[in-house]
Amino acid sequence: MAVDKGASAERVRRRRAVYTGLKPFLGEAQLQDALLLWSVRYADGPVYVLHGFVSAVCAQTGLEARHGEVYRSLMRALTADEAQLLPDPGERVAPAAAAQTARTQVPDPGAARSTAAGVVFVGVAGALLEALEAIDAERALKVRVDVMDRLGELHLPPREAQAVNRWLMQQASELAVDAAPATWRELLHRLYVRACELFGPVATDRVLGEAVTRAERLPAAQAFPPRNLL
Amino acid sequence: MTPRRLTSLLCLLSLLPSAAWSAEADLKPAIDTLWVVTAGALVFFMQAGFALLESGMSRAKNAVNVVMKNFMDVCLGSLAFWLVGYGLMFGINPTGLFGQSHFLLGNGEHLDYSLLFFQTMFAATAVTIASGAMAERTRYQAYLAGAVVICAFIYPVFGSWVWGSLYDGEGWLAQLGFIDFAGSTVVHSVGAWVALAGIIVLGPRLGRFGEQGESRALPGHNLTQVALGGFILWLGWFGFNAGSTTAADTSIGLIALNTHLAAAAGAVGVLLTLLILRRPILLTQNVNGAIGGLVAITAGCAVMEPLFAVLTGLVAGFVVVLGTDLLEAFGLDDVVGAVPVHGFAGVWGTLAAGMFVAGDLFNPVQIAIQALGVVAGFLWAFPLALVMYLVINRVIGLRASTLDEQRGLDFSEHHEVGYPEFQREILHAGKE
Repeated sequence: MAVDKGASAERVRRRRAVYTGLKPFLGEAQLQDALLLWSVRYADGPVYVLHGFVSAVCAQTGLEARHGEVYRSLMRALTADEAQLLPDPGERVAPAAAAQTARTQVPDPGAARSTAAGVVFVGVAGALLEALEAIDAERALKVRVDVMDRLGELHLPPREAQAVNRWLMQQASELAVDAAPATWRELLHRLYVRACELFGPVATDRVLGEAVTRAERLPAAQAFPPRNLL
Repeated sequence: MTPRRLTSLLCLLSLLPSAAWSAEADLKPAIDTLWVVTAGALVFFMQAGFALLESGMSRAKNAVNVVMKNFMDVCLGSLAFWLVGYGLMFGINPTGLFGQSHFLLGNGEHLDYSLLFFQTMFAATAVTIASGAMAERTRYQAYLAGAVVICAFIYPVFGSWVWGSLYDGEGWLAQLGFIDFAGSTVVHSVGAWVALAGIIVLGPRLGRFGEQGESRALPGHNLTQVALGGFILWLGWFGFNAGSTTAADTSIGLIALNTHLAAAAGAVGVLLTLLILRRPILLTQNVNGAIGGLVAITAGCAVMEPLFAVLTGLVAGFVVVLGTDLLEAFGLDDVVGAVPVHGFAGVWGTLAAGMFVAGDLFNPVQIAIQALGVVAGFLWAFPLALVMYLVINRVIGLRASTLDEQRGLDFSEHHEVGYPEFQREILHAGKE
């Protein structure tokens, strides 16, 4: 997963535009949710899909009556000069999200149950990210954000993508997603690649090895050996 | 003793010198063959040196893959060289551009077989240079496809320009008087330019350079193995250079001595460079320095005095360190330093062979011819290899996926593990 720097810069610019366009209408927590939704479902789509994005945001936040106003604000921001945009919220997502963890711990009755593979993934990837944070928290956050930004490429169903997003942004400690082992393997691989790019392969291989060893002590590892994720 | 018997004995004794001379003449082809075949076996042993050195400089998860490439490129390359390469390189060469006979050699003279055997080992050396540079991210089949093309075409055609005068005709560089006794340019630089093209098409290993372009060291997994590989290459090089006489004659002593001194001076050159630059004295760079010295002396080992062999090796040591820095500055990932060692040191050695000819020091005409040969080698091998690897990348896929890089090519390419007792935690559990 070599990151195209030009595409990445454009994505950051659009994220700033979405943040700027929605800021007058939403509180910080609602903004974070809207940005997660945008990054998972709409970031890679053409401009016209933003109409659906605004509809979804308005529906979730009780702003249906102001739909046109919100849409125009968003379009203005998307076509504005970069200097007029607010700073990239991507850098602030995790700290803000961490503060909301308690709020998002409420179980979702419609959520899928965790599978053994999912539990083991959380064990391995969690330990990997934790170890990377111990080396350099800022770069570890960048690993999370960059993987989150490209989550749409995994084509997960929206609810599951949202759950993965929340977990990556440390808004949820568990991942109640019933995904195939291949999905977890791909996700772990994306974390590995970005970690290699930011921390170097020597450090990444070392912390991945340690993370796998740790995860092998989990009860779920009996049903799904962590090495199946590698 | 009766007078009659004494006369008979004196007659017999008077015949001895001519009989001895006759026996020596009869034995000469056999002794030459023995020497060439022994030297060829020494050159073959260099493959073990390359395998140890290259796998030792790679990470443990790719060790088997590196050795497999070394092993199989010799096998496929040898067959390709027998089928096509030898004819292109040494066959009758009326145009000076390529040989046109002796393909699929059979029913030849004894010398044909000895030379084919010896030269096959040279071709195998040229092709295996790329494997180390391209290690840890190249797909196996794609690499082998390239190895066949190198042995069958890229290496022998250039070789015919320099050495293609065995049966009839003469290569155009040979006609000009280009000196490359055992192949600083023909074997080593050509191999290195192919490697350079390979690493450009491949790109660096995952995470080898940071986002700001900063270089990250990815240490090899077994430095003892690297040192052993270096020693074996050094030993094999005596066959490489001294065997290039293709005859058991008295010049072998000077050639072997020059070879040894240049290797030692190459390692010292690296040591001095690292000391001057206040850098750590790395084993890998010292071994590369010795090999750089060997590469450099290969062109002129038969034409220069030992003092200049030392100078050639010493400068090669500087070239290896600075060449490694140059590649990194361009963001090129050469795992074992093959391009600086075989390419840049090969260029220096080829020029040195023109500068330091005994009795004809610093002849500008000779130096110009040497420079022409160096440029011709690059202009032939590099663009052709670049096109070849681009085509292979398009058709077969040259670069391993990032998932394969994560798992290691031992597992992803061969379903094997070099060190199963120690690598368990980073390995994928299943074979899929």
